[in-house]
Amino acid sequence: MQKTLLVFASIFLLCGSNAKCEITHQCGVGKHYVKSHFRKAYTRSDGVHFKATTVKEHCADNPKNYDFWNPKLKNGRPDGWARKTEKSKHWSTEEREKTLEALSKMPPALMSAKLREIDRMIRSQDFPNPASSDNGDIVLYDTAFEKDKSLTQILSHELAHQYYKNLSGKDFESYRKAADWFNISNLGTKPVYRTAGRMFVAKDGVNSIEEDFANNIEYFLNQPKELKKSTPKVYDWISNHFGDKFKLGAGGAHVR
Amino acid sequence: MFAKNIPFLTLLIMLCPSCSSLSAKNHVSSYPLSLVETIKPGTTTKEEVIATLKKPDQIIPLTGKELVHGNEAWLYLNDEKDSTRASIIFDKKSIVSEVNWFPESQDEESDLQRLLSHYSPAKFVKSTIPWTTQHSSPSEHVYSNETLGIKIVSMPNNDFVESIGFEKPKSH
Repeated sequence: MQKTLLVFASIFLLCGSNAKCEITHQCGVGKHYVKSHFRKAYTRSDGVHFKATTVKEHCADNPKNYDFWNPKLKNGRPDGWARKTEKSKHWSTEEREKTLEALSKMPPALMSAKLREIDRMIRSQDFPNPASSDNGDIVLYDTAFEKDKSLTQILSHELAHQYYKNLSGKDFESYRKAADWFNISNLGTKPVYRTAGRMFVAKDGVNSIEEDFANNIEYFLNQPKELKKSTPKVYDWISNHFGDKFKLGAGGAHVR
Repeated sequence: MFAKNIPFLTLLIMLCPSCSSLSAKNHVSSYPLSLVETIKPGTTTKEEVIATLKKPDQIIPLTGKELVHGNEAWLYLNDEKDSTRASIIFDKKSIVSEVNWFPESQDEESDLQRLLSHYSPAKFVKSTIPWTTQHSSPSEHVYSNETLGIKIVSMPNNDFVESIGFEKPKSH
């Protein structure tokens, strides 16, 4: 009797008032609790298709780098988020599981220590944009979870924005040269450039070096042949900069 | 004759790598800031720009929304011709409207703190560039002094200076 009381007391001390914690605790090391939820049909990042079903509560194996990514998924609004009209919402279990699965595929180089949080919001000011980045924060909107969207592709793009914001001066300069960006003016609200007639894998790349960089990293990881064909100099820059292990599913724990 | 010169040529080749690295170390890029900032928006003419910087590598006509900057941009490229070193923008009367200078990492002005101390005791107001693209807020920080007509754009997390721009100072 005394023993049982001690166990309950220790669970209460460890978990506070969080009732779910007791079950989470029982999942053991390397696993996490997934509560019962309805999961829509989807295709996982490795191409495996899953039918729509009700998933019963269970303990799931932690995806790669779960301990790094899981605390980043927050319910709330990033501090100082500039887009005032965008409303936040809570992560559903289904979205959380899918996002953690996609994040587990990211190469370690994109695990930035300066990334504070990944939040959920309903609708982008630029609907149907699926995601946005600020300095240290990422937001995923409802459209990121639509059937035809690849979370892996969306997240590699947003994590590339975070990587860009922390490039060293030398790396920024060498990328600018490799990608043929010729500055003209930074004096207005929008920088003026010329890009020496080069091609872009995604048309909004022409808007800024940063958007171009994020698109190129996204394509390098998800559709490398297209990037190599359209902008071989940029493909080579990414290969040289990140090395052989820069690919999806490369795993490993490394935080920049 | 040729055989006689072989030891000399060998010595020259042996010394050459150190010569080239020495010259690279002491290399001063074309169009330093001290030269470019002698061009004054609102007064300097095309002829005076040519007298100071010589002819540009590229002449770019500005169009659409770019016309707020001026009508024509003259680009001066770095030695490798793979990056803009300076751009001089002219208004329709062929008077300079803007001067932009883009440091490279070996320039000491690429460090924000050094650059700000270069203009000391002038005070700069810090701001960020408004969010203009769909996916991401611009990373850069902006340091402006309207009295001097100077705007410095730097990266947020390492103080690397992307550009220094000069326009006609605003009269108060």
